Amino acid sequence: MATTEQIAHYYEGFCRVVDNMNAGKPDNMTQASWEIHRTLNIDWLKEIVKADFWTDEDLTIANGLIG
Amino acid sequence: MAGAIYFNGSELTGQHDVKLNGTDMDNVYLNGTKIWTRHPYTPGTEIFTYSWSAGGNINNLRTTYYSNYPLAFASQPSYSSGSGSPDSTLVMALADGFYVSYYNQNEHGTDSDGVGASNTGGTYNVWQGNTVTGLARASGGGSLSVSSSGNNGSSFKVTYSGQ
Repeated sequence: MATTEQIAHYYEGFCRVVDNMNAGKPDNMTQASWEIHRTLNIDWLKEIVKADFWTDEDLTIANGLIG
Repeated sequence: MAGAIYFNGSELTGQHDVKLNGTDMDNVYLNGTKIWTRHPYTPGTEIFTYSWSAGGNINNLRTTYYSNYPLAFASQPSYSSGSGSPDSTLVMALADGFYVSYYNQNEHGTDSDGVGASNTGGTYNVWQGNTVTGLARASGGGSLSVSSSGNNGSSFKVTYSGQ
């Protein structure tokens, strides 16, 4: 069972991923890396929203990315 | 299945719990059928920690780590992309009873509570790009609670659960 602190930590990471994906490819990242990096993160977002430890966190911020 | 034998309602959890005339048994048979195999490690044993860096090479997980810890792997890791240097993805299938008990991604932090990930077997993608790395659970159910790709390096720990 995730603690309140762990959930906060995971949500912070969740929000960072959403921000990173919305920001687009960093200048120092190759296009090949970006395509895999983006796919991995979008797939991760799709899975992590299903986790049963969330309470009242706003997960809808990922809706534009995960469809 | 290792550990799947009970004595007075309690699962035998040590590496060797069954003795005959004081000698440790590796296997127990009943009417010719194997009903118990000793644990290769005491449950809870940390088998190895693997760390890798963005822009580096992950081939030693496929070679050295597989060679040093063969029981932890269901098969030798193989590439779904690349060949070790960026951009490479190494598919790692853990054997039953082994699991990722810790995952740290430099940008996104640590998952060390096991929430969302199974504690036995499963397949993972170990990924490395020119500036990013990460670990993703590819099959076997659940997911890691920390993102599968972020800036700089990553590390994970494989532990024997015996389950």
